[in-house]
Amino acid sequence: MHRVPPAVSLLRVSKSYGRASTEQHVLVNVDLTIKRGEFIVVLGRSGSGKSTLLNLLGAMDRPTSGHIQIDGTDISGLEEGKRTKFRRTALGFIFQAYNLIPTLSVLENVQLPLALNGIFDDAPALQLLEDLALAHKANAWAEDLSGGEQQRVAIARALVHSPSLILADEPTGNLDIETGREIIHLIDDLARRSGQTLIMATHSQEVIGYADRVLTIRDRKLVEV
Amino acid sequence: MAPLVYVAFSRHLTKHPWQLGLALLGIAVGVAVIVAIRLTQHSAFEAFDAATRTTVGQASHRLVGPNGQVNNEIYQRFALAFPAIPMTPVINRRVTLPNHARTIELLGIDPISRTEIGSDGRTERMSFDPGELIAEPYTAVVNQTTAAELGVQEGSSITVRSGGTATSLKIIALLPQAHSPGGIVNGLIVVDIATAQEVLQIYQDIGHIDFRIDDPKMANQLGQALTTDYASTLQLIDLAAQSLNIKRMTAAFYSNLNALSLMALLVGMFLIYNTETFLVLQRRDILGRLRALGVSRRQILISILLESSCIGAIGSLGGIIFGIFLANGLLGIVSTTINDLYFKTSIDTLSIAPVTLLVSFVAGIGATLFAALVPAVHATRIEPTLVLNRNGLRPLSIRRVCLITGILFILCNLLAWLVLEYSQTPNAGFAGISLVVFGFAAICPLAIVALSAAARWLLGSRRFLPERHGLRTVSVAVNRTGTATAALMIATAASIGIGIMVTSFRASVTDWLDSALRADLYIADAQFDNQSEGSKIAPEFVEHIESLAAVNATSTVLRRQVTTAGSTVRLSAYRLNDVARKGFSFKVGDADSIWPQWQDHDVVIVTEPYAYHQGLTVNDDIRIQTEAGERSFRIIGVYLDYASERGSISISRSTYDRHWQTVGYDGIGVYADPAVALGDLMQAVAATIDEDSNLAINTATELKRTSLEVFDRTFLITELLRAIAVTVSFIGILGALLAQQLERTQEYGILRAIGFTNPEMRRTVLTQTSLLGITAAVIAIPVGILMAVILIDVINPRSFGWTMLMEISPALITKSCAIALLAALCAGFYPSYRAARIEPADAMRYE
Repeated sequence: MHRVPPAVSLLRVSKSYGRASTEQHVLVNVDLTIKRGEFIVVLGRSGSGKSTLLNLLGAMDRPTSGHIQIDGTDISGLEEGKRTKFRRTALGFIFQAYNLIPTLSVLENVQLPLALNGIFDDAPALQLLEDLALAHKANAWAEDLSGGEQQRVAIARALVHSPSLILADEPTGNLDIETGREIIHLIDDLARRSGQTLIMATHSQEVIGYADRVLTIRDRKLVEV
Repeated sequence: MAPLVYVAFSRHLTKHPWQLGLALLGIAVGVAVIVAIRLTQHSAFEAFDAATRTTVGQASHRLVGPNGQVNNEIYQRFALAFPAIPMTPVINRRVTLPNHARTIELLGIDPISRTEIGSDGRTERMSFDPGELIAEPYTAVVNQTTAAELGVQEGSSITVRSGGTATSLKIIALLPQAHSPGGIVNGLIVVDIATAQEVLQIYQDIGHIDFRIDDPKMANQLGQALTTDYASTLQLIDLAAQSLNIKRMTAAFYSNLNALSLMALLVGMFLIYNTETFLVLQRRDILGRLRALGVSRRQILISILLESSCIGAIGSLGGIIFGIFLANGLLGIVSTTINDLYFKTSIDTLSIAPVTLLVSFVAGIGATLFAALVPAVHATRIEPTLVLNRNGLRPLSIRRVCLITGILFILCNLLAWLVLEYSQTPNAGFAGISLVVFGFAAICPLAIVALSAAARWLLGSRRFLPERHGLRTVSVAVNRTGTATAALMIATAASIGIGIMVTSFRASVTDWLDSALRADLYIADAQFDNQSEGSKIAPEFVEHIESLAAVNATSTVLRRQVTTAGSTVRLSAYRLNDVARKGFSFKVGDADSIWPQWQDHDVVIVTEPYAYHQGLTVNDDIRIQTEAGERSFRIIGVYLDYASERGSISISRSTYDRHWQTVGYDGIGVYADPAVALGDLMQAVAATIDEDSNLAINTATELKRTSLEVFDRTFLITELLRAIAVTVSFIGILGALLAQQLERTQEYGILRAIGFTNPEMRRTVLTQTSLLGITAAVIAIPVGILMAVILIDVINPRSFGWTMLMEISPALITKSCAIALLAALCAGFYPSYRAARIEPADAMRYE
């Protein structure tokens, strides 16, 4: 029987910055396995290594040692071009500062990941905006929206091309409590409906209630809370 | 590739129209100057070709005589001997229009034989029946523009004068301009050859004979007949080769202008580089986000290069339109210079060459892509993690910047030395200048760091905190400030370099004129100019002048074109007194040994440009076509002369008379008795000149002034192009510095938040821009002087054969540096005003 690989697998992953005498170890020998469709929350103080972990999982950085597998693909050894294509197809990102493209409209921002994958169909983007109650703002400039609306656009952009893994870095960090709750609910709901794996880095305790598992970085290791 | 990626890029530009405008301006000006220079050159050549077509028709060869005239009998003899060769007699001379105080070209043709020459299926250029000129004597045709200038119309008359005889010609047709079918050039009167003989009073002679020889064997036969029967006194000239040679004479003039236009494009490239660098820096967030979403490095590179291509294309199109307008404006200046120095032609219409426009368009796009390549590659290095970390794009370390720029400086200057040392062409000189400029441009960042450190050390540690902070930040951001400073430095250096060259050249010409113009008065045919031969002054007239009590001595000159080594050159036959001889300054050869041989031996002295272009020096022999055939003359001296870049040969009148039969003179130098005032001498000489005569009297001062006017006219276009390039580069640099300062708004807000006062903010910003201006000026001084050295010692001798002494004007350097500093300061005013008004709370919130 064919064995389905885990959504995410980290094997003795270490990451350090700087050289020799000034070397700074952020993560040391981290092991982790995440099943498909799981919602993982990574808690931790500022500077604990949460963003480093997301960068590694997001194929934006390489581990100093160890292996990272996503959907059975070892991304730690991929060359730059392949990592870019992997990000394009398999991953969705939601950032604290939204990071929308200011020169594109709301609809164009959501269409962008589809277009990068060679899909030039407006329908999925429009449907997601409809689901997120943003259809009426489809042609507005992203920077003209409120913080909550911008983050909803960012969620739509992260999900529109149906990636297997969604990475969210402090998605509520710039929002008020009420809007933050609404956003977390939305992400959880949409990810679970489509069976996508979600890893969220945050220092908000409120998110814990949504998570299947809560991890934290302690002494440069990832431990379950 | 996803079009949305391009959209994301291009919309940024539309949101920053002034930055887009700056980039477009940079490339448009560079292309415009190239287009303008090329089109004026093309128009000059087209005008020359049109004039040639009118005067030469379909002729391929021309037979000329020793005195610029051929006897009628020779024409008849050739017509009988070579019936298979179409030939026609022509007279082409300048005549005076006494009622209009100007001269005009008179073309005498034989309408019947001329039609035969043009009867090869190609139509004769004239759109009326030339036979009408024969039917009625003393009739003429001109084109409509010339008629309008002279205020004549069909049926009216015009008076022409030659050698003191005035003749009235009836205008029987007004033809279109040369560029229209059947048209003729401006400034030309066409008459029947018999009428021309009457007007010029040369009843036994014609000017020359034009042939149409399609078979080279026939040309050889004709040449052999000439050698056998006329002892080489008649010459057969290949008109196509002659036309090419005349055009080649302007090569050096245009190579200088083309170099200037390339400098304008170079400045444009710096502006593009600067703008693209800023556009990349400003869009680093977008680039990072796109990279995080999966946009590849290749896609980023292609996007930026595609954007640059669009900017290049639009800028080049704008440049072409602007260039055509500019060319129209420059046409008059170029026309004057070409007429002053090279050949007589009337350039009245701008001729647009599609190939020139296409080449300029491609050059514009190519330059833009080249300038954008480095920022584009830099953009591909942006990592998506930067977006998440919010660290921004880290500038290169100062040590690395210094290392790279230091290596570039050494490499460029080494290469420049090799190019200048081992290549002898003028273009190698221009390549050398470009390399020196690039080399010094590369060390601008290094100089900013060094000057910043020195200034901070000088300012101490307590009282000048805003200044010290400004100096520190400008030094840290050196990879951003370096390019704008380099562009400012190039513009300033060009201003200094070209300024020194022109000043030195003018000073040398002035010294030469002071030395050469030794006589008190000069008498010459008013019609005489560099391109045509006027009527001669009779020996009796010279004797009469010498007999005047007010006159101490005279010197004379006779000028004519002679053939040597297959090309024509001006020969001046001088009768010189002792004072006049002192006017010759020898570059090679010793005056004490030259003058004793001058009178009685077959020797010549040649000008510096002639010696350079022909590769000749003292003791070399040159063979000149004389009336008795080809004779050898030994060069005994090479002298300083700025009259013509082609150069000329000088010979004593007694030697001339041994080989040629010409009677008379073209000019007389009159030396006053020491006791006589110049005014009295002028009166005495003027009284001897007949009222109807074409002779004009000029003082040495007047001649000097006229010569310097020609000099200034020649360099007017250089000055104009330099001013365009420098002004636009200053505007561009001002914009670049402004952009750089505006980018720091957040930094200024934070400074305000931590306690900097408004005046302190202003001091910080103005210190930064002042340092950039000072750095540009400090480097521009040695670069400008080096540029001048290469222009004076390498390019000018290689292009024109002229040497000159370098004269460095402190005022010129001070002015150029002051403009650089002013431009930098101006660039700081608005940002300093903004920095001082920024609300700290806003800046902190934004941050």
